[in-house]
Amino acid sequence: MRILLVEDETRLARNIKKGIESLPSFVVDVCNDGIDGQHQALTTAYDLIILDIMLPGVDGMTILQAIRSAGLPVPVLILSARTSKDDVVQGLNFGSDDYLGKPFDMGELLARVKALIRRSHNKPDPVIRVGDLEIDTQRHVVRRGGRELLLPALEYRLLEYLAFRADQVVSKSDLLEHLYDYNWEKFSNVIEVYVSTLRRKLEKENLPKVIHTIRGQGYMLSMKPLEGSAG
Amino acid sequence: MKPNTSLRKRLLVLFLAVDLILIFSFATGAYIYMVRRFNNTFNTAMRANAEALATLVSVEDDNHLELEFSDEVMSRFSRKNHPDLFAILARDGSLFEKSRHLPQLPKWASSSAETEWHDFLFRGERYRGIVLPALAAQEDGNRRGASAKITVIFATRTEDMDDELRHARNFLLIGAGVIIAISLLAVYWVVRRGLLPLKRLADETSLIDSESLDRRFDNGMIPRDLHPFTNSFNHLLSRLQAAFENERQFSADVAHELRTPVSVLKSGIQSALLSPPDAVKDRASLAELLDDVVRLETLCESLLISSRTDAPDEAQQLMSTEQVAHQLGRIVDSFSIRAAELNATIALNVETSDPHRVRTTAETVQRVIGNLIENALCHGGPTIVVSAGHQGDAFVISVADNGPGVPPGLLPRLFQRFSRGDKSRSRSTGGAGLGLAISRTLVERNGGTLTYANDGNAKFAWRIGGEFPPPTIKGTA
Repeated sequence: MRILLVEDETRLARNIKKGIESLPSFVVDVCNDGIDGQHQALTTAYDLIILDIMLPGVDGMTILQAIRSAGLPVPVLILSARTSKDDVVQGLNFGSDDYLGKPFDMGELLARVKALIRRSHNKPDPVIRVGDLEIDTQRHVVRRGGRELLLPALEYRLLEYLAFRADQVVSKSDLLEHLYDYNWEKFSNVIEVYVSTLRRKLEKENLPKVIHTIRGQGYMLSMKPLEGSAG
Repeated sequence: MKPNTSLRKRLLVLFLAVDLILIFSFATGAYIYMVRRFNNTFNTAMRANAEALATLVSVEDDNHLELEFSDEVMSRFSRKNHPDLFAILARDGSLFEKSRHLPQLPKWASSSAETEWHDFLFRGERYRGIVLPALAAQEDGNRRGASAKITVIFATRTEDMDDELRHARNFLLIGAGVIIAISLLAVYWVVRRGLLPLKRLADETSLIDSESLDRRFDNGMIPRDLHPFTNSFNHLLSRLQAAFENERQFSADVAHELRTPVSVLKSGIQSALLSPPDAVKDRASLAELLDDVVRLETLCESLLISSRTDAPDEAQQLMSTEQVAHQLGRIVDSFSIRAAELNATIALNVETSDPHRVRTTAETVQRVIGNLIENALCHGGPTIVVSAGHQGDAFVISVADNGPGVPPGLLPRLFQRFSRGDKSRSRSTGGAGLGLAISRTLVERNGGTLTYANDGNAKFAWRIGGEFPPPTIKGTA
């Protein structure tokens, strides 16, 4: 999952990035002013945007309105030092999904981030089940065939993303866009390497296939047998 | 009366004093009038009695006087209890006849030319006597011309009149007492009622607290004499409300300004705790956290200075203009590296006069001028000029730059706490919008002024007062 953080206080932004990325599920892009933030929000497919209100250049409310009028469904969490009831109400009414006042608790921020992402993918249960495959988004562990697997961060992130979009085809470019921040040098065969590693770990002992390759389109996490799938 | 005696008591006492004086004067006047009136009536009756007695005396042929009292008349003089008394003197003053009960003639009872009145005691009772001279006695019909003049002395008890007077006096005393008692109640009621608007005002005032400072007294509902009071009270409320609002705004601003560094600090600690322990990374985190704490400390310090307005000991300190020039040189030097990084230049242009001393301290100069140069570097143009010299009756230090100047929208709040230009720029330079507010506080503490003007260049001028003996100007640069 890729998150955009728009926050002008650079030290705070760095701390939040560090905090969120301590979970294997997330990568964070940071913009320190409103102009960059608005550009990034409108041009990149993020899974969540964390917005400060008082920003240099373009303020957070304007960015929020731009996102909503562009028809982007991305969940937006406002993180602001303005915590009066009116500010909160205004923020929510302008189309944000959540509002958190500063100073905030990092644990609360992480919980809200996870909740917003679950909701946006219509998966309210923190444990995602695809057939006999269980992905615990709370503890970041994977279970299959009675065994618990601890995956490295990138593998987990890839599997979790596919799980949130289970039974849908996810293109390779989608994966590249959602699993790495913008500092990453994008090599598309990286995805193939991780997918095959995941398959080795998940489809041991003749367990049925769970990650399907749809030729020319991408990948799909599903327990339904597919016609013409290869792997 | 003590200064804190209640208005009600004051009014009661004053009303009563006036009341007593009026009632006492009236009663006294009425009593005196009655005494006169009764005496007049009594005396007229006595005179009539004496004259009637004279008609009972007749002159006989041989120039003899004859007294013809009827029994009825006689009974008045012969009765045992408080008899009337009489005496009749002949023309030559010899006693012709006197009443039985009168043992001897009183000393005053002599024939005189004028009518006389005498009060005396007879058998322990108060009597009044009249001496009525030159009355004509009754003449015999045939002997005309042989008239005889007699003096009649008549006395009677004054008991009846005294009784009347005593009754009148008692009536007046009791009446006055009753009136005083009634007026006491009436005055008490009137005063209470009269002071009712004051009580209402006090009640209304007691309802005003910090939450209802927007309340005002409606003069339409308040007696006109209290308007000066309510007007100044309303005025006081307005100022109080403004001050309160100011203070509330300031607290909100402080809270808001503190929130950001606290957020940074808290998120820094929490994100460090979230990552697995690592001695090297932890040390780096600690160093960053320390930076955050220092920033917080600076902000607190600035807030403290901006809210502290009294430091009387500093107001008396004097500094020679030479010292000021020296201090300015040091400040400008300390900014040289920053200025070079920003491609800016800072020029110093000072004129001092040796014996002149100004009312400020090196620390104040450092803070105020340092802040102004900092502002000029961050917001102003690349060419900055710091100048100092005499202007009229003051020493003026100014910092000017050729930048865009203060945005007009910011001018009204330029010297207020937490007023900033573009948020992004001041945030990136770490300012909280306190610099100019602090500078002005420091400047005014020493009796100076700090003003801003834009005459092509954006220029802040600090006028300092001091001691300026006749100048012997010499220039330094």
